[in-house]
Amino acid sequence: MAFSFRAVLKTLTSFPKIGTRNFGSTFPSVAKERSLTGRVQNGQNYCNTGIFSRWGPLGSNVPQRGFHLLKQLTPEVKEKLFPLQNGTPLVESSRGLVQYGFKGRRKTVKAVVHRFFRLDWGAWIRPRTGRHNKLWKKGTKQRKRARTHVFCNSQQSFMLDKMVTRFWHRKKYYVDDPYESYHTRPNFWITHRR
Amino acid sequence: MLEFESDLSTLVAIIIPCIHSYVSTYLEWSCTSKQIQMALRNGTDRALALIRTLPRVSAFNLRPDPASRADGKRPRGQHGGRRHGYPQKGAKQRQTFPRLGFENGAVPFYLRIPKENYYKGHHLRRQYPPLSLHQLQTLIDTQRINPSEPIDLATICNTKIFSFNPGYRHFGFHLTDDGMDTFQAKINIEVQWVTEPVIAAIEKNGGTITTAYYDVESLWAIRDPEHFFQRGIPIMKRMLPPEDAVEYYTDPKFRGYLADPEKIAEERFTLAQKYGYELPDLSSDPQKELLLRRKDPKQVFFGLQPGWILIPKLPLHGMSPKKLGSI
Amino acid sequence: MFTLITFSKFGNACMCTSKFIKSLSTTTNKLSELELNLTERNVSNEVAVMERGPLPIITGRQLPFVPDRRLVRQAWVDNLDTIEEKKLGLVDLHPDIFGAFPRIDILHDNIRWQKLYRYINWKHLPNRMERQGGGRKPWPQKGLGKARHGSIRSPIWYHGGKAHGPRGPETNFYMLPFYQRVMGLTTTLSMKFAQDDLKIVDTLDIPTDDPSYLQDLAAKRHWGVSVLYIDDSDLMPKNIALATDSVGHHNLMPVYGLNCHSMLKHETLVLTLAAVNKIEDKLLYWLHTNDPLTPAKKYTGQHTQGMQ
Repeated sequence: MAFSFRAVLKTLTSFPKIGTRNFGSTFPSVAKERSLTGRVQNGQNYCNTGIFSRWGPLGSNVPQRGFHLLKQLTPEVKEKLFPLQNGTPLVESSRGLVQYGFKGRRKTVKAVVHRFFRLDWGAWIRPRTGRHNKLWKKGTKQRKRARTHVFCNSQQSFMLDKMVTRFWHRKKYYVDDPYESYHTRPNFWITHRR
Repeated sequence: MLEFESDLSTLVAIIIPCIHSYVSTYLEWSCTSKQIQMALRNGTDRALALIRTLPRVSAFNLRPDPASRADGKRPRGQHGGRRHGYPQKGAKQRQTFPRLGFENGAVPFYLRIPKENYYKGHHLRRQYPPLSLHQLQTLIDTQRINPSEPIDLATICNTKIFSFNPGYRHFGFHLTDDGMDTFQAKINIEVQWVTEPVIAAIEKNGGTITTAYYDVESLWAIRDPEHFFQRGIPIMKRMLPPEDAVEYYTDPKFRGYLADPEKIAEERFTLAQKYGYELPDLSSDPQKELLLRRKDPKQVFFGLQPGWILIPKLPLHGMSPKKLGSI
Repeated sequence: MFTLITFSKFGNACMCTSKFIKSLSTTTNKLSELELNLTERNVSNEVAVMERGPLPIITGRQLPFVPDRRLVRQAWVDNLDTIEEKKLGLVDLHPDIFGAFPRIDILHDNIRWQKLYRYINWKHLPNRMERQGGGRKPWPQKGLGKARHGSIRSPIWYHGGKAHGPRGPETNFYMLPFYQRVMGLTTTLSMKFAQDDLKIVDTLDIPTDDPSYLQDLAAKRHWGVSVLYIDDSDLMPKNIALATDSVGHHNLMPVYGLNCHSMLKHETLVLTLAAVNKIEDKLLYWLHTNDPLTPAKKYTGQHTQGMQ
């Protein structure tokens, strides 16, 4: 999630009591803060420091050093600003199935479509986990296996079928489809073409 | 229906031993004697002969097919009521199940798998539902398509057996090679996608094939010409193919409608050499005019120009005579 | 001279011009012939003699869509102008319509549909909100030793509202699939024919408008008590219209009104030759077309363009 300085400023202005703790190690004078506008060494743009002068006199438990806060943004600072653990976002995403969306219809779970591929005879294929990870410790054979695409089992396939709409079940008639030969199942006695 | 027939025939065999005589009298009374022997084996005629012996069919002796009616088991009473088949309390009775794929807080299977661009660009790709040469031959043999007229998308759709849906990003038909060994018809056909062996199969029999692109509006028009003319809007100009299709439709190897006719002629000869058949001479062909008939690249229908409106006799959809007069 | 008889449509037949009508004159043509003849005669107390074409009427019709294995049915052509039966000829009938497999279950579905699609259940039982009173708690919750209640109109009370009762006018409208209705017609016609209840006549012209004429005719010929006469158009000859008007069990109907219920309700079914042609054309069209059915085509006859 992109870090927005404007968002930070908003949180600062709405929580005046945030300055009860010590934020940073060095604190420049108020006068300096007031005079400072615009850019700083590391090239990041800040807003007019006039805002911080409203926060109260020196020595009070108010974040006079808001400017410095922004400038440094140490891990401790971040932790204080974002009270949740491990940098988790403020809003939890929900990627489950929506049965009745705004239009009253079922919605496809996009997470499924981004990871799996449906064959016309009902099977789903997927890549293997960890195919890009720790390759240095994997031998050639293992790397090759990791690059393969494998079937999902029937329980998984049925679940994935329910998570997508009819559009994804429909047969596609691409002319230069690399998966063309996999959409039929001629070896199995029930599905082979007479 | 077959089941019904066999049930009735077994009934006939059990209840009325002399059905033969009943059937024959019914048939003698109603049909020519020559075909009676054939009919005696026919389930329908035996059933009708049976009906002849039974009381008059009326509204009071009809019954539905037993299998078509479900048992009407209402959830009431000692056994069907109370908890109605659900256990006490809990998610099962209250139907407060977690979402599909949830695995009690663990990262679910459908999120655990790494991402892969299987469907990248799928919404931009064109689709061409298949029509095999075998199917085409069958259409011609059963007189659903007239080989003495050029065959295009409209002809195939007018048979009402094959259809495509531009809403599903179908851009026409792909003539496949299934049945190319037994293909015998001599036709002038225009499809949207074709491969080399199919071209060879058609040209070997003295026919001609063209691949042509139709844009979405033209597709809706040509898919159901009757409905399109009912709409009373002017025939549109067919648009040129998009960038990724230009290469195909300008390629003489695939007999593209935008390709150089001279190069197409060369390719015809080359293909004949490749597949080992003697290329029939089109110039001395009695059906030369038919085989060389082509649409203009901007034309949608044979014989009709863009900008024309066909006014049918029957009322147009959403068009009053006054409105029509003002056009 | 003509009496127009209007019928409500039962949704079975469809508008379709005939490709296969041969040179059989319809009732209206026959009537114009009759008019010319009658002006020359004294009509007062005399039974008018019908002028007919050459007999016998053997219609060697070319029946379309008949596979070799199917037997063509044949039926006598009777007359209506005398009480005694005269066989005027023989007519071929299409096996897919008059010799179709008797699907009793589909016929049942058709009869059920005809009965039910226009049935409205008017029952409406008020619920506790709709019952008068019951807004106040009848007595305090505790202390009285009585059962606790919130309203005197709750479902468990006498004169209380019905909890899950019938709620207002309820429609039972549904449309039986079109091809099931087509099959219902073919089944009924086949069964009528198989049970000797189908009679074919050349026209519906009768000599008098006396109701007893038709009843005597039916009795003499051992037709059922109730007879349904079907002609190709709804303009019926005057005599038969007047004769059947006062008799409830002899009814006239045009082809577009043909329906399973009426055919089963009447014991005998009498078709004119023109009606047979029209019925066969319409039903054969729907049995053999591969043009998908749309409402426009069914009711406006747009599909007929293809047939011509």
